[in-house]
Amino acid sequence: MFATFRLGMTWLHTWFGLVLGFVLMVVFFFGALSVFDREIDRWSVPASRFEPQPLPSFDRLLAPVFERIVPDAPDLAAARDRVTGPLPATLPVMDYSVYTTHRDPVLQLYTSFGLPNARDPGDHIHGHVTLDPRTGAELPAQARKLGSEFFYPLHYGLHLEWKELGYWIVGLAALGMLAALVSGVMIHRRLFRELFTFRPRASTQRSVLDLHNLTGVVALPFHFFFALTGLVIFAGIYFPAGTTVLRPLHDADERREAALTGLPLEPSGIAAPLAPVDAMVADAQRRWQARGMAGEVGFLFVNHVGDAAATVSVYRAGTDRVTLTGEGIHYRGSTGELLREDPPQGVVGGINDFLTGLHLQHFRHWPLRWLYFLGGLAGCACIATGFLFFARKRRERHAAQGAGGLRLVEALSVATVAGMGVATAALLVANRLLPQTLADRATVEESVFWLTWLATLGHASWRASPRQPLRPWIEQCAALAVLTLLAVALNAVTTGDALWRTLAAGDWAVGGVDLALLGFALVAALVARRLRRLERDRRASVAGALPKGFAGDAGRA
Amino acid sequence: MSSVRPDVSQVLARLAAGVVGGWAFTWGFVTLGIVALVAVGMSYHDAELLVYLLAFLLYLALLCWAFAVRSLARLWLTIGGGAALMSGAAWLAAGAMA
Repeated sequence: MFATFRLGMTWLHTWFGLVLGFVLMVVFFFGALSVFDREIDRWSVPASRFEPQPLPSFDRLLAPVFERIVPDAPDLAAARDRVTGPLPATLPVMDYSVYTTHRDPVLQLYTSFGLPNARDPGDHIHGHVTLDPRTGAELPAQARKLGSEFFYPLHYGLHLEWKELGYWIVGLAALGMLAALVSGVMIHRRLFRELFTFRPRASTQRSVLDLHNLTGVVALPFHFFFALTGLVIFAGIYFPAGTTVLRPLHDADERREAALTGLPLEPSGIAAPLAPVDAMVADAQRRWQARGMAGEVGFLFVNHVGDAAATVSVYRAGTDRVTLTGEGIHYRGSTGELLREDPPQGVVGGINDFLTGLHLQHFRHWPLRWLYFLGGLAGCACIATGFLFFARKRRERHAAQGAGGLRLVEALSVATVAGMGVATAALLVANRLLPQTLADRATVEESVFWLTWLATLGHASWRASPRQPLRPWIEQCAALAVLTLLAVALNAVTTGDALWRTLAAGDWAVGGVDLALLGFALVAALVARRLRRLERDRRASVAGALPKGFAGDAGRA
Repeated sequence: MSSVRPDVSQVLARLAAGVVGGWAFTWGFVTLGIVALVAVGMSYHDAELLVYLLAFLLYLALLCWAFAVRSLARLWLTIGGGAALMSGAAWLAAGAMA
């Protein structure tokens, strides 16, 4: 259909890049923010602004909290459609789990509840609380941890939970991005030279394209790797073989595994109390030390709670390496006797753990973490400049033809790039302004985010005009600069943690978020200024009065 | 390169072949791959991981190929035929092994 292979690849690059770029922008931006999700958590929940803590005593502190956890209300409401009869007032508890990292001051506790009369016998729902591990006090449910509970799920699922639609859209976008990268490489003859080419003072179209190529090529291995491993992490959703046609094979393997490890798949039906878990944790830590890898607990899992077949699994936090293995050690819950130590991973599992570990980054390495953040933002810059290039290339031609589709593309681009930033900054401002005691605080915060985003789309369509195509960009960049500055100021006013105080105290989590916000404000202000100058020059050149020494975009493209 | 104006039916046919057909072909590869690896003694879990690592590279290659290959008939025959053959074989073999 195309005259040459290169033209086919060009078409693929242009249109996959444009259509999926809107989704990818969201994935990249919130992926970049998720690199610092725990730090954003601390910024957004002032009650959690203290040092990360090791796992506290299970028996004294955690067990009583687990016993109080009830199913999350939205989960419970959704589950009523998946059962054939009425749900009992209290659901049977299946398992407890607690998760922490070297960046978590507060602890996440989860309980799974079985669903009697469920259509799918394995169906279950969850309940969770966030805990201050120093005191055992629960954080109020309305205190939404914006990093790990809002930005992170947005990164991989777009908060579209119906039929896992968000995962599929993100997956398709990731695949399309891989195709855009491959085709991008195909259409560039001088890939290596582009690594070193950026002509900010050349014609705008040229420097936009330079920046597109530079950010695309510099971070190419990074972006390729993340899109691919992102797909592999959720492969079970995209190719659910083990729960469909291969279920018999999968289940047979699971039973074989259970027989081998001695970890029962099903509860026995006989009630039995749990032996002291702290002793098992101490034993696991001794065993890690004996292997020369002393470490903290990252994940603790109690299966078949209250049953004679209960097991306790203790996993090591992966603070000191890339790969994701937990060196799991498993105990019989009723007696505390050792059941099994996970053997070293095989080759395939080892490769997989390494790749997913590199994507999910549980390790402690701050310079690398900042590089991840910058790599994500480089992806945003690549997509944003791609949008600009697409629109500028077609603007005059479409205006001459009277075609209207480009206006929609431009409005969507503004809202996706600048508008997304504005909505995020508005969310942070709302987070600092809404009273802590507000009952629906999390819902109100989210509404601020989505409505602001929608408003930026309205603004972009309303303010765009053929005479001033850059005006929506300028205004939204200015709004972004103002809102991010406001967020930093409000953090200082409402919590007393002004930037100089947090930095002086060495609180890099809260201070770092403030610093990054100031960085965003600076970049947004610079972009707004540069675009305003361009718009002025453009209008002057349209009016035929080209200013002296003009190095704009009219003559040299 | 703005002169590139492929006709819509061609684009849709290739898009469908690359995205939907590519998924089906990869599904066939995933299921048949797992069955084959389990048959030669690998654990289900390892087989699944290995196949998943390769699956998306295959899917990507199919998607790019859908826009590079000349003949639409050859594209659909390869992708559709491969998907049907592999999925069918995996389904039969899984039934026989369980």
